[in-house]
Amino acid sequence: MRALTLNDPRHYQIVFLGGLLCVGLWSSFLDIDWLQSLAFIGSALLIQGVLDVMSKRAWNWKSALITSLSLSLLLRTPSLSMAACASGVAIASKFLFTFKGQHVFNPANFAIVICALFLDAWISPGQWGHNAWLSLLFIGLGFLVSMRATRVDVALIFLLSFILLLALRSAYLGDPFELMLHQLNNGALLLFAFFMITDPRTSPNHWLARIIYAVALAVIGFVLQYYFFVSQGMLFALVLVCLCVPLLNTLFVERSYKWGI
Amino acid sequence: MKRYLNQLGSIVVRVLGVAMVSGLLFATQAQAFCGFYVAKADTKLFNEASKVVVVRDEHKTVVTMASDYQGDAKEFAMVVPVPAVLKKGQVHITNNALIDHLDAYTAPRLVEYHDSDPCRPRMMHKMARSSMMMESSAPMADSAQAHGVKIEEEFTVGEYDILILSAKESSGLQTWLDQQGYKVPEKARKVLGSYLKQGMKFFVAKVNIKQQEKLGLTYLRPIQMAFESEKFMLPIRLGTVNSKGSQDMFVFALTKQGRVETTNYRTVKIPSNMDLPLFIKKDFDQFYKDMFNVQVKKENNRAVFLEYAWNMNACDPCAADPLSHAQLKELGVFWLNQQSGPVPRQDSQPNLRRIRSSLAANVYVTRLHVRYDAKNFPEDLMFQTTNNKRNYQGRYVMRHPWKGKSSCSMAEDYFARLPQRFEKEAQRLVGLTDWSYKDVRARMETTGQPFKGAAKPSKPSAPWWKGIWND
Repeated sequence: MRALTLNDPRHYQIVFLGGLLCVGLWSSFLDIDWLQSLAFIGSALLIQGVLDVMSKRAWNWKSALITSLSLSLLLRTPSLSMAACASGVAIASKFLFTFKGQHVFNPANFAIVICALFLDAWISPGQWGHNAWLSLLFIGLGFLVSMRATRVDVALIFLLSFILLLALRSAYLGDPFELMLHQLNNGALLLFAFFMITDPRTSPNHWLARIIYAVALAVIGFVLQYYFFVSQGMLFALVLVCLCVPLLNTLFVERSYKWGI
Repeated sequence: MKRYLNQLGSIVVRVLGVAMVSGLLFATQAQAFCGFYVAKADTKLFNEASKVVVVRDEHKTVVTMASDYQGDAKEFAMVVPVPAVLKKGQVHITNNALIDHLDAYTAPRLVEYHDSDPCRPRMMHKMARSSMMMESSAPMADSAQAHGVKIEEEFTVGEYDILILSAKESSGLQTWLDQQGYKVPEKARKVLGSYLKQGMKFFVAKVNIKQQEKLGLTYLRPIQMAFESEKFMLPIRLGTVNSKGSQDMFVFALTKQGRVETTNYRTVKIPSNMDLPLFIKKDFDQFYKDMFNVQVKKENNRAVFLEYAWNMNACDPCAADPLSHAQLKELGVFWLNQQSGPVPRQDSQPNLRRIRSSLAANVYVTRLHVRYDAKNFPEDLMFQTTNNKRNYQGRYVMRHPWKGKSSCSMAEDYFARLPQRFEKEAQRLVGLTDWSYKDVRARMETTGQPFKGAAKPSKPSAPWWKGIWND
């Protein structure tokens, strides 16, 4: 039982995201309203409970907590009711969009995109500044190690592809190295890379599919951000790429199954 | 729950419909700029505080740029990257008083309160505004062609001669600018090249002395430009190349939607709403400057500070009257054209009361203050408009202790607690400004805030348990 508890990467994720939220609330480093965080967390847990009861499953509080902690850190809403609504969108997406028993979208990411596009919510990508990244990187890496490296490849390939694209752009424009460093030295990017796209439930199962997934994320995110001027292009890219994951899983599971014979 | 599910259902249908058809529907950002001042001779330019007003809704943008350039008008020139070729009707000159008014309206403010008789609690306040912050606050065409530079537009507006340039490459542009007498620093070439590759044009303005004399002007007026762009940014990179140290810029953003913030730098609220020692009334400007310096350092010189965010139809307390309909229109608030309504009702004592009018109801103003240099701000400022309509202002409070005679148990407690309150104010001020604690205390002592034996000498306070039982 004890070993099981330590092996569950979600516990580390809860501790990390929860810790980050507490520091953000306490130090006012992040412009977060604790009532808003409560609205995210409370409504996510409640909605998860109700939907679990309706589908006769055990209460998956860990997943709901991780989702709502991510929402608290990333999404800003003008009212508490909209925060609750965002949690509703996130949790409900897990029940509504499934493929072979696995949900399609990362719930927090899906809710952020929906709320930013169609409701009055917004994301503050600048809030992380350019100093917190080191600690985020280290803790993020620690988290990945604790996950026993099940999805490290996704985060690393994504980051490498993104760095490569930025370097190419920077070389083409003749921009100084510091500018590229500034673009990379970004807490939001690292949080996205280590905590959102590495979700084992919504990333592909096959290693080759995961490479395609990570590269596609970097390319689409980069194009959205630098050619369509969407400040958080990555988040939008993830929703689009997640739509293709069922296809990737079908494609690559079959092949690898055949090769296995 | 059902409500959530219903809502979710309709949202899901909408998002899938849109996202599948065109994944790239995300309307966000626009493009603007700010100055890069070039001397035509080797005149050192003082380019330390510029003011930019950005009016933006959807992709439509009107930018007003004002500088505190104090030198000879003949020496003044300005090169600004712009997202598109601007025609004469898109450029306009306005007056400095307009920007000064917007500055005054949004400036950090000092508020004064007087403690009421502790035996009869009630309050009065009056307000003083900071005056600081902004106070200081033909052959050609042939040659152009030879250097791969194209003069897209050429016109005179007010006292300025304006050129809109496009170029094939930065070296040609730089050589041509040099030949025309604009001293462009060598380091600027790469930056010019980067902007060119991003499809930007260059807006070049210099003063037409004859026109200036004809208009009877002895100072430079702000230049305005209207254009449409999906990028919402201010190009600061040319300005950092030109400057040895850091520069201050104030960005006043006027939107329909709500607060504006930077997406690639931290936007930090300036510390506000706190009680401070009474003597800062005399030194408010110095206090604010020193506090700003400390905050900049605290954020490792890499933050943009929010000094004011409010709907333009109100203020509380008002540092100046909200801008009138005509002033907002002059600034380029184009959506007011579609509105009509009564003249704003303003109080006879606007500095004391909240002002409300129905007219400017959908103009939201954000005042951002940034101190930038090449090292800490390598990238242009990118912005986004959010739906955040919460009010915010830099507001500092002086609370005068009660000086009257009072005799009741509440008064005893009140006077006994005063030194503690003064101590907190002193420490807060020292923390904010890095001023010497000793000096702060000494100045407080001489301005009616003694730390010992406050306004009224008080007896040592009774133990907490005294009075629980009336034995």
